[in-house]
Amino acid sequence: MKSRRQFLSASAALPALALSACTSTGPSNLITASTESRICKKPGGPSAKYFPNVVVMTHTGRRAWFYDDLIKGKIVGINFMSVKSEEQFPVTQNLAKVQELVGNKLGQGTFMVSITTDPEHDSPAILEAFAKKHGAQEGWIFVTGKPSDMQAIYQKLGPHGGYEGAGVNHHIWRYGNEPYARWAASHAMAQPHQLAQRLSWVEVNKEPNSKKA
Amino acid sequence: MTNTSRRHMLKLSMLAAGAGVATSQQAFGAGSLVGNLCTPDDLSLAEDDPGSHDFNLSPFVDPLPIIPVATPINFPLDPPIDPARHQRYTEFLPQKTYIQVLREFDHQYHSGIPFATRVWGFNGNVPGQTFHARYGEPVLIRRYNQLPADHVGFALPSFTTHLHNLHHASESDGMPWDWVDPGFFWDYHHVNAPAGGDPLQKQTTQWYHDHRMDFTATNVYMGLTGFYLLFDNQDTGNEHDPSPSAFRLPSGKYDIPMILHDISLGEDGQLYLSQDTNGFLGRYYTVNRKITPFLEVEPRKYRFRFLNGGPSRFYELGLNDGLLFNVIANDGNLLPKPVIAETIKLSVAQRFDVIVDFSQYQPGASIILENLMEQIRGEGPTGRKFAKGEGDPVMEFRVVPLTGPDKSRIPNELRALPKINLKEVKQERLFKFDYFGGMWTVNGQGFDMDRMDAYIEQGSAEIWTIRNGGTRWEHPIHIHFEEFQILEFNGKPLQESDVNNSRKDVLTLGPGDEVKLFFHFRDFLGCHVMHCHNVVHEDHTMMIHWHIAPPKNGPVLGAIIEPRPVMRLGTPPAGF
Repeated sequence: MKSRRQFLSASAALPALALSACTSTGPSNLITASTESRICKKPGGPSAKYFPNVVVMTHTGRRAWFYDDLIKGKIVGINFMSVKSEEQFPVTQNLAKVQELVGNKLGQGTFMVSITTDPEHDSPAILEAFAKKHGAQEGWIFVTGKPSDMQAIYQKLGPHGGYEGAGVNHHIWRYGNEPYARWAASHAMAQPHQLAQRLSWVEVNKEPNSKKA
Repeated sequence: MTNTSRRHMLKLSMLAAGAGVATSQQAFGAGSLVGNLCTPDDLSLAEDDPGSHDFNLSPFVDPLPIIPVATPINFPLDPPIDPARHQRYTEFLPQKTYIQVLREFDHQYHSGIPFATRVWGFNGNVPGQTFHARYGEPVLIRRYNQLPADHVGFALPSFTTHLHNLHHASESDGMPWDWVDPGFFWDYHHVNAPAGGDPLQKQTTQWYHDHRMDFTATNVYMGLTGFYLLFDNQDTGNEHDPSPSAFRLPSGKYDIPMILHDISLGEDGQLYLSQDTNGFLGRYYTVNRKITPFLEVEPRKYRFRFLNGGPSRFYELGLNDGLLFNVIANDGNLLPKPVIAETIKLSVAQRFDVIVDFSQYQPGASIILENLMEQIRGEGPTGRKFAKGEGDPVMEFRVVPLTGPDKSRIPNELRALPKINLKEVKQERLFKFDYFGGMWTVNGQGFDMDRMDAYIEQGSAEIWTIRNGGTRWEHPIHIHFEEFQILEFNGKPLQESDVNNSRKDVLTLGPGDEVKLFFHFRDFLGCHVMHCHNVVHEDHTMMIHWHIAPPKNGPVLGAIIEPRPVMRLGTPPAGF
């Protein structure tokens, strides 16, 4: 048995992990590579059923479980993009302005995840250059991966039930608070302050006096 | 109960498309089903969704819940209402005041489910209490948010309650951006006066529901809906009324509002909602938040007020025994005369008031209300229709002995339509409902609360052309504040006997449909919205924002409240 992190770094050629195969088998935070089914032993959070837990690559070259590492426990905004389509759908340009407004919260509980719809072209290195060009700070993660694994993400998070496929989904911007299972969506080209405000809607404020009235 | 849509789909798959769609031409707009077929490949049914658990429930086990009627308070509000927050407040001083507290509580959707389901509701009721309002009697409703701030689940514990189709000021309309967070409250002032002071503009069956921006589908699904009924000197709510003006429609316990929602539950018995932006179809039909219930009826006339509460499903309701509906109201507006229909087609948010006469039945008889509309995806029906007697059961009517004479009537004449004067039209506009880049759009854009899509001069009339740019989707379009009349449906006027020849607030657009609407904009100033009432589409930006501005000439009614009111901090009084 290896620790989960060790497993992640050692599993370059894993088959896609469908979320339906992700079951809890006890308190262990370990994962075994002994079966074809690649059972994830880590119990899912409240939003686990909404997200495929496939292995992806980030623009920094890190291998990550999509749900466990990028979504779970976080407030997150999620969009679809590709380097080639940015000219036609300038969503990354718009989200760069959202990033500025999120400010210090970025990377401190609040994250932005941009998923390429062109994984054949958008390698981690290409995404890294693209992220740098748009001034992405720590906490804004660009994601690519094996096309079949990425397909699982499009199917679950893409618009129109996922069946329209990649390339027509660049205007959906999903956002939510994973530990509280609050999820909604808005328009990726909406005014940046409106998108930044939405990330605060899903925060949990238990003290009403803390809000303006 | 087992949901039978798959069985029927398979059983009926040899039927030609369109077979059986012609039996109720009176009950829906001409042409609305033409070409209305979803692609048959890649079927995803409510039953197949892994989040939706099959509890193997039997139908007709639980009685239909009769929604309690709201009762006013008899003590002053603390803090008092702030009149400066409301247009024309002193002209329409509230004569009754109500308090509703929004909370989370447990609800039993069906006695065969081994779990209680967490829901949201009003004063412990789901659906919320029914308001019985009267013309000439303004009311104030204070709503407190006592929902759990740390709620775990798809809904957002932040509400804004829209009183659907009521004619009242923007600040009392439950605008998507007028939300109220936990620990706060909002005062809603309903003038209960007909639009333009015209008695022909009076309304009957309205409803209230959540309208929180981006979270309308989730919050409605959790339970935030209820009825608001209006009565007047004709629709008096008393079938024994000796007044010559009274219609004497079935009343009291024979006047039953019924809200339809379809739901799915997870294996833990909690409400399950998918993330599909096309819309959501539930596994189970509910009426007044009970799964496939039964209602004991006497052999006499009943007024049923059917409302499709969504989130996404379309219905074509029929009675399996050939019993007919006497349709008396469409979208909460009495028709010029009753329309007899075999079936009624309800898109989300639509209402039909019908009178059903069970007098031909003996005690012990059973009549099933069924949904004949086939739908396998959220975006709209397939266009096929189940044969009568083979639809999905929605509820059962069980005939029991008569307890007294039936003094109610079905009048020959009800309420005439206001005359349309096209010379009053100052502006024509086109709104195209479509999708782009994966989001639902109006005129190519997603909703932006800071962008005003139309300025309208108070007192004027306008013609709006509403077009469905999609080839596979149906959209029930809802316009707030003022009701419209249909001038043309796909280039043709409606027949006089068409049940949609009515004042309306929901327009069902089939693929490619184009409809011309006429309306006035009267009595108040300020912002309102138009949106698709498939609330999943609405939450995915299929909405616009319009504004009534002061007239260039003539008197101004109302005033823009600036700054716009915000939620106020406060907790409910003792006993609530």
